[in-house]
Amino acid sequence: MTGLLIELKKDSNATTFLLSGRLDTLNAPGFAQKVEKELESSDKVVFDFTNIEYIASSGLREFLTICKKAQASKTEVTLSNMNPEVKAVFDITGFSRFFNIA
Amino acid sequence: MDTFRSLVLVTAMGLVPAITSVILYLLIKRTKLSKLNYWVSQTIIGVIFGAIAIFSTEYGVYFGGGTINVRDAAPLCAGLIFGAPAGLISAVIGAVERGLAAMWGVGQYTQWACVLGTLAAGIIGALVKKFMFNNRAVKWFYGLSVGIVVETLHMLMVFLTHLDDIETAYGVVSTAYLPMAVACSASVTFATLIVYVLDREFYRKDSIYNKEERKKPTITSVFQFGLLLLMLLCFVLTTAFLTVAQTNLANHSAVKLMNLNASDVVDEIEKESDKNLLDITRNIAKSIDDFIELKKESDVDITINEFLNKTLEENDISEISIIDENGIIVYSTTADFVGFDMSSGDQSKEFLCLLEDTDIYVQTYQPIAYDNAISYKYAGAKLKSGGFVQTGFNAERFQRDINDKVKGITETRRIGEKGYIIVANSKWEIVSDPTGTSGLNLNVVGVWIDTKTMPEGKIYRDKINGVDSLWCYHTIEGYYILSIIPEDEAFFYRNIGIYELFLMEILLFSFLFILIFFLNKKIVGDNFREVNIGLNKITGGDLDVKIEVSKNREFEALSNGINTTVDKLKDYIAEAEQRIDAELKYAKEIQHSVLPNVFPPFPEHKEIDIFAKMKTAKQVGGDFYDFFMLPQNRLAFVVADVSGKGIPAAMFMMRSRTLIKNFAEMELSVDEILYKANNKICEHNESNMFVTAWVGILDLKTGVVDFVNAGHNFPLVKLSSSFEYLETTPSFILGGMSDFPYKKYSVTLKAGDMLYLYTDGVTEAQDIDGNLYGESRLHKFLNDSKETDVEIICNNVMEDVKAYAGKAEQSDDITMMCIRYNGADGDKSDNVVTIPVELTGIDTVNEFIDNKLKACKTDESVRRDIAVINDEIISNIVNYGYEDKTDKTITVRIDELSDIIKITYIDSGIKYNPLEKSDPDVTLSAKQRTVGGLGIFLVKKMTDNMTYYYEDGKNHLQIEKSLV
Repeated sequence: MTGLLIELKKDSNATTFLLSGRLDTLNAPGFAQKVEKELESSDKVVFDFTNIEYIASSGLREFLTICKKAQASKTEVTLSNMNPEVKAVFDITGFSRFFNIA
Repeated sequence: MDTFRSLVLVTAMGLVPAITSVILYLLIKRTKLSKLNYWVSQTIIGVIFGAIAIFSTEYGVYFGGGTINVRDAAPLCAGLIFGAPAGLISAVIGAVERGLAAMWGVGQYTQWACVLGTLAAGIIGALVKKFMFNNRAVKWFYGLSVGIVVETLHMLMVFLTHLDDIETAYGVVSTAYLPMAVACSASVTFATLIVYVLDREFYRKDSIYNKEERKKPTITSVFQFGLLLLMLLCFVLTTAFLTVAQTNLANHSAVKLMNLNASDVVDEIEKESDKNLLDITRNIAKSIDDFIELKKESDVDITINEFLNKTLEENDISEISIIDENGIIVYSTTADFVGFDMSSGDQSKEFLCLLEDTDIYVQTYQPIAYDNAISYKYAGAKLKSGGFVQTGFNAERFQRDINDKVKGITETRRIGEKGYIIVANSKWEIVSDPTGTSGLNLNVVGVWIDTKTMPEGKIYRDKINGVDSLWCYHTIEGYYILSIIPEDEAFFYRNIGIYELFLMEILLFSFLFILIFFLNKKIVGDNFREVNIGLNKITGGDLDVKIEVSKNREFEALSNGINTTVDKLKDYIAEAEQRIDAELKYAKEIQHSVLPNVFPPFPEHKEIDIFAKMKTAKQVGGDFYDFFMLPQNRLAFVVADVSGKGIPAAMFMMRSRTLIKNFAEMELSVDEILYKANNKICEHNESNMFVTAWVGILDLKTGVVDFVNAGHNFPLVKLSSSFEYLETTPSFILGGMSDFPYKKYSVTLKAGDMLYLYTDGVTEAQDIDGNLYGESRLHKFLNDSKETDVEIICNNVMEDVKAYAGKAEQSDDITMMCIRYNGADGDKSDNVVTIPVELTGIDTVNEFIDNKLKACKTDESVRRDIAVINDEIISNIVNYGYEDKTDKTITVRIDELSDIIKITYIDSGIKYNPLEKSDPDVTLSAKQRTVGGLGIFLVKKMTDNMTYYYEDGKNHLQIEKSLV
């Protein structure tokens, strides 16, 4: 299982990105760009981490971008279903504070 | 008999101080009394012996007209046995009491002599104890001598205090000296002998001489013995010489005195006798003249011969002869004499004076000229008719006439005080004698005179009337005049002289002896002792001791000689030590050089890592290790320890090593190898050395190790998780007993498993307090370390042992060997992956490591963390490490994979230590945050340990993460 798959799901409440794979050096770059449009247009965006194996600093970098953009567009960003390792990365780096964690 | 009883009594009195000494000695040395203060105990002892001295004074023994006692023995015993103060105290007590005792009846004559003698006893005893014996137990012989000397001094005091009355003093001394000297010295001898026997241990403690040396006499004792002999000889010679000289002198004056007295008696008797005979002869001459006249006038019918015979009978005379004017005997009562020429004999010639002017002549009693066997006394008188008449008398005849006169002749005569004269007649019958022996025969009173062999006027000694006497005899007119002086009178002054000399000499020689003794001790004994004490220290190993006995030239030279010798010796030893050290260093090098010491030894065999290390103690040791490949990819390895140290152990080690290797190469099983090696080692093992060994053969294909433990320390084996002791029943040591079966065991190693072998130099390393490093400490250290590199493991243990020992000197060889099995395919390149400097390499590395982790059934969460770590580190290197990435690679190596994983990332990029980079501030808001630095920060957080070093132009970054 390599690469990063992004599946978009919209309902009345929120826009949900179902993520699969790794948010690592090889796959993360360009991720923020891919979700940019939806981020600006939605009030609520959810990133479902259920299928994310791990995240590296390059992935965090994308999420920092996402965070900054969401703040500009006043979009509420929620990260859900993170495995303990991924959660630990967010916690360690202080990134947990930037998002709603579900 | 009384004398004997007195002697026994006084000797028994002497036992009082002697026995008291022994009892007090035992009390003071063997009971709690020994804790008494020195001065207190000395005072008590002094008072006790003072009391004994008083007792002796008051209960003296009557002997030979005086009183004798053993008072002097008390202060002597106190001083000689217990110490100077005790001796002096008792002497003062005894002396004062003796001085006062004169007031209540104890002999006044010897008052001062006794006081001084007692004081002298205390002083001499104290001096001898303190200075001759250094307060140690006095030998009995000295006790005896001191006893005699003290009594001698005592007697001399009697003389000295009565110089004006030597005769009385002599009487006292000659009576008392012998018994008192015997009793006193017996007492002191007894006391010193017993105490010396009880105290002998003290002498054994003289530790500067060894047992053999103590059997030999000391210089001082040889010197003492020689000196004593010499002095005894001098003593005997001077005494003998003086005795002879004085005796001759005494004899001479006795003879002079006796001759003087005797000659008076002789003269008197002769005068009496002459007078008597002359009277008789004159009468006879007259009657002959008358007869001749008569015959001329008238015819007388008797002849002249008949007349003479008649006259002879009437007067009881032996011979009457008439000599004519020509000196020829013309008539004689002894017919044979007629015709004898008077001038032909010396005796008869004297009478020819009667033909001249002399009218009358008398001769002494003597042998007659005609016949020497007959003695007569002759008298002659001139005849008116011409010629003369000669009458001969035998001794009996004229003695009968003068006996009455002679009887009273000795009555009032005295020679000296007790000397006297006796006179015996020709039949040895005593006729005159002041002692009342008259009428007895001479030989009854004890005299025998042989005039032929015993000249007159010479001195003879006999017991006369029961008294030893000097006597001489004279003869006159057939009488024996005996002058007699009792010996004790004749020899009185001689005896005083000899006695005084005798006493003086005892003292003089004693003092001389002590003086020479001290000089010898001081000059020779003490100095030698000091030299020997120094030498003992030197032979005890302290070569820095200097001997400084410089009181005289000889000892100065001796000291210097010894010091120079020792210095030279020190130089030689240092030199020899250097040489031996150098030789030992070579030996060590040779020993080391035979052990495999190139690591890795078998680079082609990736299945194993092996490292061994040996640190020898100061000396050449007996430890060794060995390993070598056997056919069919088998590794044989040995760790062994030879008993003992030094060159022999090293040689034994070489031999053992070669034997094991040779047999191993014969493709035998490991137990057979040791069986055969053991037999060979036993074959020539006169020195009874032995070796413990742990020998294993590892099959590189299967990981199975066959091994035998020949009495060696249990090695540690790490089977997947941790190091544990591989405890199997050990077989017997090598070299102990031939034909001994060795038991083979086996253990199977998997990839990553390790074996750690060592000698007791590791576990028995001591710290400065002598505590052992210990097996549990080794066990813990290996397990705590997590290190997987065999070389690093060995080095670390070595360091830990070194740290533990601290400043303590290494006492034994420290040897260790570590083997790691990497699996049959265990090429170590399995653990390394090399990627180009591209981000795509991250996946390669991730896959490589993840596979390894999966094989170890590592939890997924950990594997994810490790993937992140890989990602961050490699991307970092790729993104920032190189300016030109062309043909450059990054190497990632798994150093360890067990409970932990260790991965090293090696790149040749810019030197960069990520550990020095500061962590990002994770508290900032999103706006303030930048994206840099998070990667390394994450790695730090996710790993358990990180190390960085730069070597050979490469960055080495090792991470360590627990897998559980």
